[in-house]
Amino acid sequence: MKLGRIKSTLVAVALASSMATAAVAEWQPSGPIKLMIAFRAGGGVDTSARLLAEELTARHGWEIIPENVAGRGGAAMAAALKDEPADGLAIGMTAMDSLAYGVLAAKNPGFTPEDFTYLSAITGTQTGLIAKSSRGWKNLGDVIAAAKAGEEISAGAMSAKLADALYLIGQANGVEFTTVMVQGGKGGLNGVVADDLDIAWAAGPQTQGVKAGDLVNLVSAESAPLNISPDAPLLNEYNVEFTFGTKFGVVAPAGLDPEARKVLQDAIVEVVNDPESKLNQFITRAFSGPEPIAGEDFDAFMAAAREESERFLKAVE
Amino acid sequence: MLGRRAELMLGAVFLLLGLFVIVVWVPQDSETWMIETFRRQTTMGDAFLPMIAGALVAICAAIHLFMTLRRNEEQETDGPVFDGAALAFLVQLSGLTALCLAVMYWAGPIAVQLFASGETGDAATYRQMRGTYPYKLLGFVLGGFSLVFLTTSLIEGRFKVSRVISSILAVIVLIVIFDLPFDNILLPPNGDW
Amino acid sequence: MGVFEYVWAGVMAVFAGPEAFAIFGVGISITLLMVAFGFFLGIVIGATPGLGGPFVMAVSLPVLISIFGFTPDALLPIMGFLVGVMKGATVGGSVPAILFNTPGTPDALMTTLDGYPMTKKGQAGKALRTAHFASASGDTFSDLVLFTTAPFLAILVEGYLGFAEKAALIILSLSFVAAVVGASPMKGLIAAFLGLLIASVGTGEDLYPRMSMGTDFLANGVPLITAVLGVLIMGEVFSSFEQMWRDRRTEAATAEIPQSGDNSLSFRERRKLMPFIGVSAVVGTVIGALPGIGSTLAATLGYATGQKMHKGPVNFGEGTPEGVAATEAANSSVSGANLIPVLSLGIPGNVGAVFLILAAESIGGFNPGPSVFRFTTTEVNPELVIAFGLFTTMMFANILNWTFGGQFMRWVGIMVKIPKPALMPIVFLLTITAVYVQETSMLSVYFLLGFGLLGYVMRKIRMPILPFVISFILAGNLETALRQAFAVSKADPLFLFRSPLSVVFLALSIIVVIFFSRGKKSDPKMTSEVS
Repeated sequence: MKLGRIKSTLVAVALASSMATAAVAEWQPSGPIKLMIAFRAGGGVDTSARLLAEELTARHGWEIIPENVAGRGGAAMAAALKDEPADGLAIGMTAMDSLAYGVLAAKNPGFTPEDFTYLSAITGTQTGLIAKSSRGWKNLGDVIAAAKAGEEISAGAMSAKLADALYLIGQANGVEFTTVMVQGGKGGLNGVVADDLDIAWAAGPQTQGVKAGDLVNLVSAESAPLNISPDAPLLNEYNVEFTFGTKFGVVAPAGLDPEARKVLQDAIVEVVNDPESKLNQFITRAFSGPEPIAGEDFDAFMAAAREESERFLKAVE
Repeated sequence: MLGRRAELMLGAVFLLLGLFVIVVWVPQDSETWMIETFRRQTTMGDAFLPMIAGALVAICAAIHLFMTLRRNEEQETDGPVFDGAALAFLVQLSGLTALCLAVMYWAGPIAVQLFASGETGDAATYRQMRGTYPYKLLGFVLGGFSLVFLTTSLIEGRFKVSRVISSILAVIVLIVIFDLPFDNILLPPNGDW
Repeated sequence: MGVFEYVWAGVMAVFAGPEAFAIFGVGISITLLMVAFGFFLGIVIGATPGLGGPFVMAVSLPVLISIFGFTPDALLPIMGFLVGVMKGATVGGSVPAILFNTPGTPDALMTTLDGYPMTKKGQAGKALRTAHFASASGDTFSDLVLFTTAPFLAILVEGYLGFAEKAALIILSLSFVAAVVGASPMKGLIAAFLGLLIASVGTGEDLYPRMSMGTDFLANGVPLITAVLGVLIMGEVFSSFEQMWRDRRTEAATAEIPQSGDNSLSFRERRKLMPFIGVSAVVGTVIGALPGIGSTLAATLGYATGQKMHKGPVNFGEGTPEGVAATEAANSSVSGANLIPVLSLGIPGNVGAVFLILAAESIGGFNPGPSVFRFTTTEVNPELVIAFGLFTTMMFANILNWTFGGQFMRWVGIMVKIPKPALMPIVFLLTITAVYVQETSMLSVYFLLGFGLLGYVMRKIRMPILPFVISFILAGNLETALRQAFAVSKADPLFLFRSPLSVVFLALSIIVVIFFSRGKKSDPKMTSEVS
């Protein structure tokens, strides 16, 4: 294919020229940056990504074009981003777990964790198991007691990992939940509110309901107590050694020039940390707040996440 | 209603499609079967919905075939579905569309390759130049104009000067609506580079 | 928050929402501006033969989403715009029907029967005034019915429906639409199941994208708006291309008829029209509340009922204002009632509602359906505020219609003179651009053209488009409801038949299909397609 060759030559020239200039001055994007978002438009992560783009444009004058590549728990975005040139003009925002558990659990994900350069984490989830307050349950222990007393407990989960988590919790405590897969961040919440489900995972949208007293966080799936329900117990109180929260972060294709990586990750961290930035204010409200983890720390974090996922998969199999 | 023969063909085509879906496509091309048991949980697999849909397409097509066979021959019918003219038209329209989209896609990159050089004299790529005038609009203007003008001419069967003007105006209006006011909107084909 | 606080919050969300600009320190809300813009644009496009409300909605949706972004703040301006277009196009459609005997939209077909004879008598102005008065009355009436019934219906539905009943209800709506639209219920059903099948590609819960044949092209599924635009708009564009190509060089110029008759519409005359308008508005509202039955049937029934009631000196069909009023009141009262199934069940019944659902789905933060109407008291239910905001935009569009609509529609008769062969290719490029702007990939353009071809072929073989589109949109909801119902039942093979309500729904869906298969001869008037 002749035209295809022209395209690849153009790409090669772009790479060569960007590397040549990198050594001279601080790296600057040579064109508009495509920001792929691994989530559907309109959700919390999508909003965070768009705020990040807005702030980066305001601070550095970079032209950033957000684009939603949702689907298959982040795998769709990862597969698309992997094939982009590593020239700093394509980055992606995703749930970091899709590059840990997601890769390990899939038979043929189409990409590996090594296909990416990890720029920075932004924030994390506030995952808890929720129920209606009117049920009278105060924590997961009450639910387990009810299940032991013979009550059928239906539980909503929005990902395969959280469904596995329910299985593991049940196994560790000698009960069994009826797992129901729900769609999107609010699926479980809606199921619980409409009395279609007894309990469900929720990663943040439950905040309002918990504050108002309609809902209760029965347990925290994070490694630390939840911001809005500091009294909710952690999973290790119920013989479960794993946690099920995740971070959201920005990645680029593998082989990104170290100069470019540094410029991009510094720019992101600056926005995340600035209490004046819209992104900072939004993630403080909707997620766990600013949690920038950049550079080698981020690589180490991802390695640890993959190691834990491996142990987790062994435990459930 | 179409002619009896056309309705019979239509029923047969959809019957075959439905059967193909449930016998070959879905079973070969989905990870889980209709019902899956995994860690003592029995759930619906990914094959469930397409299998049901494919089976129902086949069933409805079979009923349609049966009803058409029983149908009275004398019922009023419309003209033939596809005639030579429709085919000729489709071929012309597809060729023309493909050509214009190719112009739209490649005009910018080729122009960059021929004329653009970076500040230091080395060649620039379209990926870098897709935010710069005039390259960013080149593909859209040339491809868009030819698409509008050529389809109009195809439909009318002749070239008219007034249509050249209206086509140029249409492209200009689209650029004014989409490109000028917004920084974060990309006209075709700039998102692909 | 109590009920009235919610209503008030909705009104305020429209009037005191984000400002577009300020005049003398008073901010003009962007939502109001968008409603007005949509309304007047709708009149212009409705008056253009060959184009209609759905076309404007389809093309502007991707663009508006790109402009306003994906925050809940974008919901009211965009949905307000769509509402404005819907109402404007209904009014505008009667203009070419009355002035030039060419209906701008299919439901204006009956308007030509009395409207054009009135023009020939030199009473075009009177006919337009009658059409506007009847249209605005019918529209306002059905909106009021919507505001009062949708919340109650939704609360009822939410209280009684579990996962299995929800799945059964979606199946019932699909089979109803499939059976009622188009000439043959079997073809409608094939179209609906084809929609489910294509919606299955690349979706699903497994990590491997099902039915993608291992390609990246299909791995992310079919983009929703692109596919809907393809079948609905591109299919129509291709069909009209072919039609014009076949009739080329047979352009007939439309001549204007000099007007000299009595062109005013007095208060007494308006009062005399009221019985006709009232009956037609009820007919239109009832028809509109059923998914899948379009305004064309409403117009036909309204006209027929009016004909039976009429005892004037001038017969129906010879140019009587009552004929125009009966038709226009009926087809206009469909648009509000059409939103009853959307807001109470999340099921779109016609093309206009399809675009409202697409807007809500793409932007996020508002899921039309029973869960919207939860009057929570301790915390604010933002979706409910949006719902009342949507009602407010509809009322605002009605006010615009009553105040400026009549005058404006008398100005847009000129649109008829735009030559269609020059216009449709522009629509072609505009649709491609609109899709690209949102998806930023040529891949989506190929999808658009592919689905356009599908829509073209479906029109050729007389397979109705609407069942395909609606089942394509509802496929995700249906699959989720089925999976959840199955999981909650602990894998009971008869999970859909355990509750009496879902058994009733499923039985009804079969009865509907059998009823329409036996009773119906080919009646093209039933269809509710895009023009």
